[in-house]
Amino acid sequence: MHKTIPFRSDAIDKVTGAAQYSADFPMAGILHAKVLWPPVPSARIIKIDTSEAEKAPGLVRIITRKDITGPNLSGMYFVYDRPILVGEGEVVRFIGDALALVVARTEDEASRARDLIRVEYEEIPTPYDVDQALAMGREPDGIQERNKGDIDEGFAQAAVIQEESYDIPYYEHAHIEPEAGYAYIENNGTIAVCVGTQDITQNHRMACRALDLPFSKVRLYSPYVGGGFGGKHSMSIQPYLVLMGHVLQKPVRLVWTREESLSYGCKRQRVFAKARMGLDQEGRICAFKVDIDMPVGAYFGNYEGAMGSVIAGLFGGYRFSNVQVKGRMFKTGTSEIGSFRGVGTPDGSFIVETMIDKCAHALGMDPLTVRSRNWMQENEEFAGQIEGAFSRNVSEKWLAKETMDAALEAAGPLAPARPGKKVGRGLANAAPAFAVGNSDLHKGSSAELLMFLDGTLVVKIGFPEIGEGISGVATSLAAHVMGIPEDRVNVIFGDSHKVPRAGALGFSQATVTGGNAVLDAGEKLKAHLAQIAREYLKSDDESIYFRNHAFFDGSGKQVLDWDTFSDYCYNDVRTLSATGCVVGPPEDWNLYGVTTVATVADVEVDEETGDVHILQLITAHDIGKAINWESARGQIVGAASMSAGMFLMEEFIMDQGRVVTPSFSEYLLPTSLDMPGKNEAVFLEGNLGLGCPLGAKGVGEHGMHGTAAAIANAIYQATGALHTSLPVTPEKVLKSLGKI
Amino acid sequence: MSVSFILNGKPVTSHAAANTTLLEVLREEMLLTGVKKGCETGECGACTVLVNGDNLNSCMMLIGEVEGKEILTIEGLAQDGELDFIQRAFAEKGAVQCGFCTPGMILSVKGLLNRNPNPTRHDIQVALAGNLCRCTGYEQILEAVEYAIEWRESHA
Repeated sequence: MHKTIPFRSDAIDKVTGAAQYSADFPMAGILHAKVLWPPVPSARIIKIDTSEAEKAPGLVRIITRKDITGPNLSGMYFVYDRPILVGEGEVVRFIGDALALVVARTEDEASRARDLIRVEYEEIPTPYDVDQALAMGREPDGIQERNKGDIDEGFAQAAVIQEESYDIPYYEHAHIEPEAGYAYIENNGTIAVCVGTQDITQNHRMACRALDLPFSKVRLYSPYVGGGFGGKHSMSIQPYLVLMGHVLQKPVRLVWTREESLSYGCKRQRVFAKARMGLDQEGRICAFKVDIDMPVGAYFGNYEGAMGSVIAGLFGGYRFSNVQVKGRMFKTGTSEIGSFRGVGTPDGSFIVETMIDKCAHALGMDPLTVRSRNWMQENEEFAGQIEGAFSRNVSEKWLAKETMDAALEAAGPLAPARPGKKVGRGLANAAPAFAVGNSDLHKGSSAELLMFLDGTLVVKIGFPEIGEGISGVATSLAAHVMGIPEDRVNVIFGDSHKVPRAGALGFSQATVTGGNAVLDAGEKLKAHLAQIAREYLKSDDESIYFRNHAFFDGSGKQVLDWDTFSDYCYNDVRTLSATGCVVGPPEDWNLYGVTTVATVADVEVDEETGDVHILQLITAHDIGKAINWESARGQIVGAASMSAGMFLMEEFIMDQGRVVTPSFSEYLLPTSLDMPGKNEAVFLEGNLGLGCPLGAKGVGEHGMHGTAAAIANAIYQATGALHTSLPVTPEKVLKSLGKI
Repeated sequence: MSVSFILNGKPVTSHAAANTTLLEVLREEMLLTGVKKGCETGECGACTVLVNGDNLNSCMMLIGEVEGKEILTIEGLAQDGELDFIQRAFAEKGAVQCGFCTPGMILSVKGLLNRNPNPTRHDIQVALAGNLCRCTGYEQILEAVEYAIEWRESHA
């Protein structure tokens, strides 16, 4: 590759402060909005009395359900069941069901006017967790099952059987940029909405449908986005902005406070599970039974996806003969379940990897030996198949052993315990998936390459730059395919009206599906350029090709220089562009790629305080090829740190549908003082992903999968206590040590 | 009310109401949007600026507190188009992902190096503990700071 830029192409904007995010665009006369949230999480709204608020200073308009003529329903994928605004006579089903948008000259005036609105309501009893749902006699709102072999027969073969209960809390994405955006009117009455999002296409469709507006008259686009991790995929402020633009026909801005972002944004799923695993005398998993219950909020969101991926994650990269898994979902008056980096698969990994250690301990066998006796082999059917979709190793080799060996080698020996401390090492394998662009929800991405007459190139790619580094990857791949230096390439991001659509920014897919689209567009653009060159030369020589701003024939002789070509294109009004998209072959329909990850965690547990310090965290990943090594590494170590924080300190708490942790004083995030002693990514390159750009497999979510289990297993080794109720606070550790 | 101070090397006067935070003045009046608003409660550090060389959360200061002081925002850090060595190190070392915490993070490093030109790794961790980053796990940020210090020493 022509490496001419020593860093990612978005980095300079971001270190100088030039990078603008959705709340950073000043506009003369822009109005400001605040959302009226419901007073209780479950109620029928009798009356929304705005009479006092209408008289408030600076008030411009109060927008309510009455202003919506469309179906007023949004959703993440195919089910549209969540209201944009709840009106009089309608029902509020969780604390984020907005009642009104209050628009004023300033944010303060909007807040004050909002606080003058009086809401009459009648509370409706609803369950807020699974126990309450069962006590109220509710049936599950959805069940997913996975069965294989004969579970009783499997347990009958077991030399040891172990059981464990799991309690995994809700988690908050905690992107440092809160949800923000603004709407204004541009050409021909188009409602333009600038908003930080992970999925322009889905948000655009969802908002236009809900409000019954022509897709062509609503333009959604994304500037730089300050993190998402799944949190900016579900509905948050996008339809409110479109609605306000439509009603007001004036520029208006809506920025959530941190409290709003924490309280009303979607959340990661809460999981209760009971697992039972049997190993035979040789350490082979002969039976695995898991019952999962999830409270899933009031609306569809992504809860079926969350459950499906918890279940997929349960099988890791192992061979199973007897499996019985049942997941029950109960609707509750709690937050929408959205996507969160890896969705449910890290939970499934956590369960299977800790069960393996518990069983290995009971059998008296080394946990690594148990793992190695169960590793799925090359091209073996992946056990975590979802009906109608299949996940498969898309490389020639399956590197379960090699990733574990690499992680152990990088880790070196476990440090000896210091006085007053216990140390332990934990391992975890995982088989994280990524979209390769041939499934119903992730059917690839498209990209357009537009070459200007000076030979510089713009890549139009529908993903936002949210930190994942697509700007750098798209730059490198476009330069590679066109054979031009990277500093001749620019990238522009998601825009419903100006950029071809990409998939959702999720499922570790931006590099894979976006990269494929860039390479495909590049091949088409080169063919297009060569065709124009032949026309100019009045030649039918099919061997003529473009490389680095000149044209050559089959013998390598230059036949046309760029300036002559460029003048011809200028005079002849030629557009030098091509659009690319790659979708896999029909026999691979609904394919998700799977790769291997191995994690080693060493911990030091303080016997007096219960503090767990991670001495080192090593994540080895079969990436195939790292297109931008520092960016890929940033994804792994960033996800590992996030997962470690979720394991040790994070917990999003709702009590009877109300949020108990609406700030970073209550919802604790890891700081620089909570860093592991060492947090290292080890990439195995060379086992290329088939159908992946230059062989590069997905990576964005994959640091999440092994981390929690490896830390839990390390604490288990250090203290003898296996912690399966998260987060593992010092208090829980001290209790397990019998100190309190 | 009017408050005069030095902003990125130039004298300015704000006429904002007394209950306006420095953050709001910088973003809404001075249009310096490199100063990010992440929480407005002093918990995330995205709004960090230098006040007389010290890194402080601009959301926790009222405008009246800066009378006569020197304020430096991320926009004022590069000199004559030349990136500060900390900015350069952040770009080169992969310390930037979404970039939302980056301006505050860089200014906290600048504040640290003003106080302590040769910090240990632990000193850096303590100095950045008020700047939350959700993308990086701080690894590449710490490496960038250490690289910046080395670079500065080799170019001194």
